[in-house]
Amino acid sequence: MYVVTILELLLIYALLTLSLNLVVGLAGQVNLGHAAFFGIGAYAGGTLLKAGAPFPVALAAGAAASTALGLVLGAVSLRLRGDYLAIATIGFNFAVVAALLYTPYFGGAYGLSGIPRGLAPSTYLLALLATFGLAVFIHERVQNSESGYAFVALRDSEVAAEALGLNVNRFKLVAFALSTALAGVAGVFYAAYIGTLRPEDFGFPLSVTLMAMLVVGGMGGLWGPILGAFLLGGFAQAFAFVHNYQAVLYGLLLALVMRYRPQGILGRVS
Amino acid sequence: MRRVGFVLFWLLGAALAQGVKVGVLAPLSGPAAADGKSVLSGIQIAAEEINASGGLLGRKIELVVYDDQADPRLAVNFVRRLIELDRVAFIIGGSYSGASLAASPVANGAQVPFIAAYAVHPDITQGKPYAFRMGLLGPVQGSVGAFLAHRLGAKRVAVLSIQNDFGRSLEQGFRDQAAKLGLEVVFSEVYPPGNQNFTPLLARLKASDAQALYASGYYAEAANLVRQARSLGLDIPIIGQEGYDSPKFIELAGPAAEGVYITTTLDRDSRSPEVQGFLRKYQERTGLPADMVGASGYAALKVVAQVAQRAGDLGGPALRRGLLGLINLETAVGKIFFFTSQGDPVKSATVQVVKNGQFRRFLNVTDLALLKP
Amino acid sequence: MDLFTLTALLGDGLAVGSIYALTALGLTLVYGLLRVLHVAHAGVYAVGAYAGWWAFQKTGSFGLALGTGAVAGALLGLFLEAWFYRPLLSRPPHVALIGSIGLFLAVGDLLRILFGPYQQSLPALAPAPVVGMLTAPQLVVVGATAVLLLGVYFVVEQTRLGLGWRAMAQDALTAAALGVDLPLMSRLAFLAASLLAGLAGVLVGAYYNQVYPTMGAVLAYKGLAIVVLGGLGNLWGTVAAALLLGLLESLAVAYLGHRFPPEGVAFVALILVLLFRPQGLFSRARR
Repeated sequence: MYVVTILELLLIYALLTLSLNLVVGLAGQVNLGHAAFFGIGAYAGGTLLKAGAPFPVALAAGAAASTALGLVLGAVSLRLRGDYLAIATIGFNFAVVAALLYTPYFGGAYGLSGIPRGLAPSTYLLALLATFGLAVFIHERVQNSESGYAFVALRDSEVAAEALGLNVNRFKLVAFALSTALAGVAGVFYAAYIGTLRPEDFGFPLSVTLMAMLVVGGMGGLWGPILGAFLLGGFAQAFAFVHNYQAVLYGLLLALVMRYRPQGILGRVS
Repeated sequence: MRRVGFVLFWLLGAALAQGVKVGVLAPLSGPAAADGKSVLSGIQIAAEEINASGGLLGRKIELVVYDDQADPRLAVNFVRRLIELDRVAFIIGGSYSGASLAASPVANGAQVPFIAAYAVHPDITQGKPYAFRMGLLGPVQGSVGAFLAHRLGAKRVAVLSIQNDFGRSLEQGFRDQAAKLGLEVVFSEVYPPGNQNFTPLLARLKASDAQALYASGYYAEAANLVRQARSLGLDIPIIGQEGYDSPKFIELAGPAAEGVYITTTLDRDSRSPEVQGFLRKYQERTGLPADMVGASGYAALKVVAQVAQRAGDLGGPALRRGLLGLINLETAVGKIFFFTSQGDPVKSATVQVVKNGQFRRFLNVTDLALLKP
Repeated sequence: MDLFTLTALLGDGLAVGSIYALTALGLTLVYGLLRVLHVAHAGVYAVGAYAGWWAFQKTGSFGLALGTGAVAGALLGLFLEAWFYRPLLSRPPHVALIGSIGLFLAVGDLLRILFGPYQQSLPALAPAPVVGMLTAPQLVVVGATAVLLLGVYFVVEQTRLGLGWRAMAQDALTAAALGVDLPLMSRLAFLAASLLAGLAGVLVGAYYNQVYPTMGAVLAYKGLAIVVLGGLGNLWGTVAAALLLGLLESLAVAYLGHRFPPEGVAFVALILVLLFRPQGLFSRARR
């Protein structure tokens, strides 16, 4: 049971890194605020689960809420490049957390607690695995489809992509929509998993963690994000006995990987 | 034949000498690390005391400690680990509310007693028969604060609350009791945890003519608050709570700490040998004076141990029954009159005041009307 | 608003703004030259604070504490420039950014491991009123910042070093072609930025009487907002934005409390600025 609990958390992380990869690895847009969408999905789905809604309804709500805001950020990304976009996504993350913190409806500082699983433990695991499989499928389809090639062209050179007649803006929006929908779904699973949500759980540090998982594992491909999620997510558990040094090891790992192997463990050199 | 008997006897002896595993969740790194260190020290002192006097039902206590960084995600997985892999008899929750909220339902579901040492969120124990807490509930502490303000002669009070469940629940209790006592709240603001600059709010507070300030926060915020208040010439009494209850508050606030009141549960002037013994041991062990968090960890383990000793049983249900059946037990953090059916203690509180750089008793509160949640 | 409250708020706003200015200045200087967001700058700041605290403990001299903080900051900054940032110049910007965040986390935690998670006190500035409702710490911070800013002004506008910086910020390739030694400019920029950060760390440590491992976090985030508002790479715009932010915060908090989430508002403003005036509030031309 303990192992299953860990596995479920890692699967949720993997869902997040795959979704982030759609935007960052494939479409080349920096998103340092991804945790916000995770949070929006979690709160939306969690609120519904608490109100007794069936799990699929909560999932749909989580996905819808995240996608709606994802399109907003996508629209913002149309006007900004590079570092400016990075800062804007950080700002977006802070704004969402602040909104959650100050909106009494979602529990504010107390957070949202008492969220039921909504599914029997074995059903939950199956649903999560199925969703993970779906995410992999979507990821591969996108990557190997015309849209996928468009994304890669977008990432490698926006100017060239535009010159080739690609509707750059449409693809950016699609990337953000898909990415945030998946993150929202992951959020709902997480709400059911942990039972209690607080706004600060979805802040900038988590976004950094997700980005780190992605870059450490390697962007662009399929296995990189999954490896990153399992590696860095499992970090805390694997190093349970070195508990006092978690944060410094984690930070150093990030710095060293970026310094010496920025393409990540499984990434391809661009 | 005698050889076999000897080996069997030895094995039996080894089995009996098996320790009792006690789980501990505490934030040893990350933002709450200071409190994690304190609570762990308290728990360790208690474990050593119990082991020195024969152990728990004859068996030595072995602490299994995990660093949850006050993060619910880590807490939820570590608590499962404690229950399934380490097979602990019970768990002392030494972490903040967020992490404890994630951990207590899991422990409760497995019928493993979970005792939150000092976390304040009501949902930690609400509806969970196996979850208990040692600390005073926020609203109860708040009402003691209002009682104190009234006692100090204030009619117009200012309230400055830290923006989290701790601050909110304190403010709620304060306001309710203040209304009953006829106190008027003339200034009311909140601030985010980690805030260092209180000068703007205090400047406006000074203009509101409040006669006392009820301000919640942890020692770091409180130190700045108090320092800046005095530097603006704000001389009114300041009433804090157990968040201030730490020698660090006095160190960081400097001379501004003098005369600050706090409502808490660790009475430094207690005549109980157990309390004085704890204070001395904590100082020897850590080099720092004890605080409420450390005392709460100490008390939590001592209380469960006493209950187990009386019940003669370490099983979850037995411990639970034992705790619910407790009457009038003196602990390092006040006299527990009894536990409510929710697992919250109805216990005495104390008001301490900073005198010559030390916390000293100002008055004790044993009025059940005030202390019942 | 009476005079008392007004002076209290002005003093507070200027002091806080000065602290922002000292740290954000380094951040924007580095960005202007290398186009890299040096998040680890907040780590340099914290290291400087601890170095100053240690020196104050040993000697009781605030002046020595300031000097030690500056030197420690500078050394760390130079190391980071050489080992981390310069080799990564050819990589996409997110590489340095993520790595920088990792460094900041690692440095913060290392400080905790070395010195413990508790806040340490640096009681060098007694918080007593000095002139009206202005306190000694406020005067020291504002005074020190004024002096330092004058120094920066002199270096940037009146020296060859400053000229080299401005050339590199405007167009690095051309500057190199004209004989500007880019690596040297980069090193000196990090030196200056980190020196200021280290000093700021000690000043803040004394101002709030608290030195602790995560003290850089708030500045890391606010620093980003300030450099954007001031214009990425625009030194004086950043200083103006910093002082303005300090004053605005003081007034806003006094009268609106924390009813509106401070970070939320700041970042929404930041996003709006990025969308509609990406050169910042104080720059003229689009970069």
